[in-house]
Amino acid sequence: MKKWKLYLLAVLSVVLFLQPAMQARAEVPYKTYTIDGYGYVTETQTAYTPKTTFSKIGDHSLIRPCDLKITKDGYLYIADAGAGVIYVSTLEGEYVKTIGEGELTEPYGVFVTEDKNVYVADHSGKVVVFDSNDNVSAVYTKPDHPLYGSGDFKPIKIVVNAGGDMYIVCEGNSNGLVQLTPTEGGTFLGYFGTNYASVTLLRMVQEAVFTDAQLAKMVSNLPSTPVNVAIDKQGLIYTVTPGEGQYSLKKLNIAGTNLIEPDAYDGKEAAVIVGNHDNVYVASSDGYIYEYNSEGALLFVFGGRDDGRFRIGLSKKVEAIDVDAQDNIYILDSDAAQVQVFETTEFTNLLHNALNLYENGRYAESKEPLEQVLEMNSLFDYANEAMSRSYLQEENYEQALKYARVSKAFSVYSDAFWEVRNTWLRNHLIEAAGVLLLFIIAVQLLKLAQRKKGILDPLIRAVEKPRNSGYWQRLKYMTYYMKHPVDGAYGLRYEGKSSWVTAGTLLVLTTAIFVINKYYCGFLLRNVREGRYTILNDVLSIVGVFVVLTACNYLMCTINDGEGSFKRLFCGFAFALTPYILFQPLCILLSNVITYNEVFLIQFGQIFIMAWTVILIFMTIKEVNNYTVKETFKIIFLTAFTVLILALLTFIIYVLFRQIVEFFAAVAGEVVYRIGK
Amino acid sequence: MANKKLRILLNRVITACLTATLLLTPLQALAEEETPAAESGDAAETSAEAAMAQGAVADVTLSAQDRKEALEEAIVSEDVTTIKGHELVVENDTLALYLYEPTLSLIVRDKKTGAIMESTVQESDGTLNTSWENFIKSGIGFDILNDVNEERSDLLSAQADIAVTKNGDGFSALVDLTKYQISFTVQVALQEDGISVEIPNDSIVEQQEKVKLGNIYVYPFMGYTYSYEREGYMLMPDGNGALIYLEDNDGRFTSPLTLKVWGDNAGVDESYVLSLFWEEYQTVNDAEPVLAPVFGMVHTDSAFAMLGIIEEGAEDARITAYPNGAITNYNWVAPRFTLRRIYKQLMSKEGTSAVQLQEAKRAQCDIRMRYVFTHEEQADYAGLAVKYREYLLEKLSAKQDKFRIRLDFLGTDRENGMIFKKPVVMTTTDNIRDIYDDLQAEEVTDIFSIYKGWQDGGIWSMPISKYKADSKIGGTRDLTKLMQEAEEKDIELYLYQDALRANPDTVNTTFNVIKKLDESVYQENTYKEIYESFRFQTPAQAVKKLNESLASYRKKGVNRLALTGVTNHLYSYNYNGKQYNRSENLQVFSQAMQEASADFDLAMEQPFSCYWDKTDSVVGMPVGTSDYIFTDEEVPFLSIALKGVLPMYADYTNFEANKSEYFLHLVETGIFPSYYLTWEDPVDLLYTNSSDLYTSRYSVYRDEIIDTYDRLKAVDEQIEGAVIVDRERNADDVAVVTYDNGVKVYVNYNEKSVTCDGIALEGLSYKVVR
Repeated sequence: MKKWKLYLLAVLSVVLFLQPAMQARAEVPYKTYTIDGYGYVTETQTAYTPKTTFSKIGDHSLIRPCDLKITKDGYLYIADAGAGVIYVSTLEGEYVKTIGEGELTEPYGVFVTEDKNVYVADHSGKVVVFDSNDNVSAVYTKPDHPLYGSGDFKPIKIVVNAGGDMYIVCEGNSNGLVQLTPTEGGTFLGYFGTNYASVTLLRMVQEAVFTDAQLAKMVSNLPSTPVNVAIDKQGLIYTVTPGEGQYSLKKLNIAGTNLIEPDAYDGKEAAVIVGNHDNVYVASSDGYIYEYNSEGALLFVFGGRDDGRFRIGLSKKVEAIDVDAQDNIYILDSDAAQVQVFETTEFTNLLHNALNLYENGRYAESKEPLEQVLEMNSLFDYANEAMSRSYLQEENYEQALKYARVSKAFSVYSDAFWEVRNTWLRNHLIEAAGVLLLFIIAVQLLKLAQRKKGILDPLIRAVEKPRNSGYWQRLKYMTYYMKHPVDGAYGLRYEGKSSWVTAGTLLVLTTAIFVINKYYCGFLLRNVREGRYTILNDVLSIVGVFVVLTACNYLMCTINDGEGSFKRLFCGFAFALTPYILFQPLCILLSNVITYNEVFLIQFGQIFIMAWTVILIFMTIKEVNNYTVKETFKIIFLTAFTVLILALLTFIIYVLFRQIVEFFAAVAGEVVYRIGK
Repeated sequence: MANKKLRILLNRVITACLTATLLLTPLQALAEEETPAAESGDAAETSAEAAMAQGAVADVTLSAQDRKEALEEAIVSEDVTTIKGHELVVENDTLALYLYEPTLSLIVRDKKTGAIMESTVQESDGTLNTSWENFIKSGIGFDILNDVNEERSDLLSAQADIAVTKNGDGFSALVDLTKYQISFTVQVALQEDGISVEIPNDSIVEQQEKVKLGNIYVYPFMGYTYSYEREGYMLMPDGNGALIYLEDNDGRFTSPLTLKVWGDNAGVDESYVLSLFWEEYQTVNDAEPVLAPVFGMVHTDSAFAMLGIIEEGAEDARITAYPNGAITNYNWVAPRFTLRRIYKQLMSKEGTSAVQLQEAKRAQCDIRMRYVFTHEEQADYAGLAVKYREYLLEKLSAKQDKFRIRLDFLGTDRENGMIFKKPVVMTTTDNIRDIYDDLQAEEVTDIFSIYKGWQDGGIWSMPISKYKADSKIGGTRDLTKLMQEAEEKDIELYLYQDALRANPDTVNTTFNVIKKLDESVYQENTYKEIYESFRFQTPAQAVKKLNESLASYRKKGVNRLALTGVTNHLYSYNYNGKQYNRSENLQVFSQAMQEASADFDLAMEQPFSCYWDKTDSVVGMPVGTSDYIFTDEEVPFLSIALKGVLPMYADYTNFEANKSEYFLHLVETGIFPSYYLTWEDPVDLLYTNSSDLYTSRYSVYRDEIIDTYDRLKAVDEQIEGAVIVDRERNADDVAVVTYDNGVKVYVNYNEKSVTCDGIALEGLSYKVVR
């Protein structure tokens, strides 16, 4: 206990020492969130607090700032498209110098290399490079290369790698980033990080059906253009493209392969930057700021839209983001024409410290700060996952299992579980064998006793009556039906094997097994949240689907000369569920003791059950109605169609009903209004 | 036969499908139209103001000479009978009051220093249009409702007939707005340390049927300054206190800062059209409510300061600060009183059609302002806070301000179970016993506790109408026992009760809940899963339930109650076809709390100042502000006024990300620390409505509580019972708080050490000096 406190104190004092003076804010206007293993958003400690805002660089009011970059030695470069220049200032917003006056038209993007060369993406159609003395050292215009295509060259953002190759985001260029190398006055290397155009089912139908004229009118289906770009120390390129789902944020290696999969995304991504701990920051134009670790696990999301609240820390339209050496975040708001600075809190410093240690592979050391993070918020997903991995490294599998389960780190859980199970098996093998032996002996003894003295007779007599009852007999018929569907269906039709009670029992069993499977199958296979139950829904949906399908099928059969009654069909279908009732429980039991290595067993079992059930259903329809195979197929399609129609009808009734309600509400409103007058 | 049937059936189905598609298309279009809901904050204060809005405000450049002259003009060193056309009306030892009759303009002069404060602009800078020009030159301004149109007017624009009658301590003016056939009386009186301005409710006469008074601005320009001509600041009642400097804003602001006194009005205010994060989460923290209806204007250069206190009519008032650049080049802070408003009557359930209506009834309350002036060393926010304390002490008696650490507990909440909701038990009575024992062993003895979620059904089972504890936390008998034990140990343990809200999932809310003026039932959205929204009870019902519960507590000898809901909500509403306004609401609540305070020790959560005489402590006192972009400095205005008079407990320290700084704020303001605790890990609350409680486990906070207690207790031993007489934050960012017993508290907010008054202070530390 005491030890970690000292450690915390040391960490904090170091961190605080590094920080510039700050104005304390008791509460910030926005909430901060993180997510748990299910992607469920939970509130957490404030990660960053607003520090300062500035809308002027010295005497120069920002007019239409579009981009900002921070250099390692603590200077801020702001591209102001309104003023047509690049302003350089200190991190506090004190004016240092202006670059590109007269040279630049509409600077939309800026990048500063290690040796202080300034690359400016000028929207008017050029990239201008300034050397460290602010003289123009190169100007690149539209590449004259057949592969470039005929499109415009409107650079809006730019990054440059160590070799001097430029990656340029061009407005409206859906091919991706334009990659230029400085040799021979700018050689076009090709496009990089191209997004894919999504083809929806609707689109495919439209393309097949529409005339050329109609197709021409439609919005063309081009890939989205990235809106911003960043580069990290290793030269990996990060792009953001709004509305691309999990591909909104990409981390691309030299081959253009995506290495990141963010577990939360915004939809309005506007800017991206890599932090000091291999963490990635993404800002949405609405002012939400996301911080991820290097693998895309969400650490924090905070901020938000101003919406006329006039509170600091909220933004109008974010265009750029950068981070300084102290992890302060700088947000460029182009609508408000200002730079907003956020600083880390004690909590975030702790997390960054853990992040640093963990990313550098110092798992054991990272555990202490992680533990403190978890004490402050035990739901912090990243910390839980990192803990589980650390424990896995340490071969402390019990603990790894615990943290993996909280953070839903399935692969870690699987590995840890394998080890734990292995240990258990090793430790209990002899005992298990012993128990088995005892069991066998006990059974033999019992058999002997039964033979000699008949001690089990009362028991046998007791179960004799129910066993011979009609109910039990009919229920037992399900095993026969499963193996002999043709005979089984015959039995249904002519031997009175159908019974509402039996079918009902089977349906209840199916529902029960379904529910148990949903909530109590093994952790690795479960896809519902722990502790969340929607049993009533489950039951209603199972029973509902079964009844509706049977009814639709029956309706279609009656007008297609089918011989089955509703009762027979209902019972037949209930019997067809037998494989599920018999084998699924085995799967459930098994799923609780397997790891990902053996998961194929379950998958195989599921397919087996599914196939058998489908065959039984098919045979039921065929035999009960006395159809041919062809007729059966026809009836299945008709049933599907009927279900569709039914759904549509329900929908129409619902819509009409709502209209009626709305109508009466309007009348009531009118009455209130008239009386009020 | 069968085939024919089938064909007919198919035919019908297809027809139905087509109909549905036709029906749906306009619906979809409608839905699409609705999505980009407008969410812009109005730059202008009212629609009337928007109507008279003008172009961009011109940049102002002032020379040092201009500023010097302005300051000279603001000091009239001789006792004269006229200043800028204003005639002396009345004077006393400290102040003299001058009046210019045609606009009812006032000038207040400090007789010792000669500093003056003007209430209207004499000569404008010529950048304004006529309606603004008239407005800034009138003592009283108003928004007139002409049926459902709102227009800004003032004494000049309305060509008012003004008949002034002077009396012993001031004057009374009968104002007749002939243009609108509206008349009222303005009474101004000089008092010992300030003036009072009153517009009595029964003096207001509105002769026309459709033309009515909407809003009244009482001396909106009182103490105004021009651009950055003068030095000083405006004081706003945001959180604990916020200052807006009278400096050159460079066009930073285009709109004023408006604070609604006593919060949103659930009955009328359109709740914010929120831009929800991922369409689900409300990510913006609510702004701090205005607890006390006060504002200030401080001229530091002439050392003259004014505190405006709304004495009557605060129920429907707003305080708006216009820093230069926001519409005009002047800095002014104005109270606005709403008598009647225009609201929307929804004509359809979806809100797609609506008509505008004028509120039927005028708010029946007097309008009374009190302006208190301070000068010389007292002419700062601390001096004004001291004055405000004196003002408060006229009404309330000082309570014992004994140091206690607040440890609140969450008993139980509910989450969805298999079929029914199931309890999530966080802290039982036994747990609390253990915690108390554990802390007492560490000599943490002075404890103030609020037990939340003790009632049957968990924390959101509202309203509470009888004393019945949840069996899962130990049951009623054990809770009573715990409370007796606590009393023996001198621990104050309060039961938490929201007397306002009703949860439609736990009680029947078909009746006795309020409807908004537009006749729709008011719903307070929680943005949580289990209970999605709450209703507000009508005041009568809320008080009935409260009294039922009080009777039930009395029987068992429970006499400590932590009240919330009714302490910080007032609303206009519709019930049974009648409209009620906030004044009526306030009366009902005040009455009930008065009765309750007779035999109960009350702790109120963020209570409005009108209830401060009825409570024994203020819980949830804001330490900072809501962080408006206008705020230049946060000052502990309210805590200066209340320290030593009323115990104040801060917001929970658990959720503070910068704990060391928060601690320093507590040292500085004298607000007592608070923790929200649970025995179990709050992970269990994830699926409950308390899911925002993410860190609260006692075992995690135990050591921190002991440490905080020891350090703050040591500070408080030096100052116990004393009141603050001065507070300043010097250039080194060190706050110095002076108490009337001579103790000074130095708080260094820097990371580096500094020396202040010869006292060395390490980074982020404090010292108490006697």
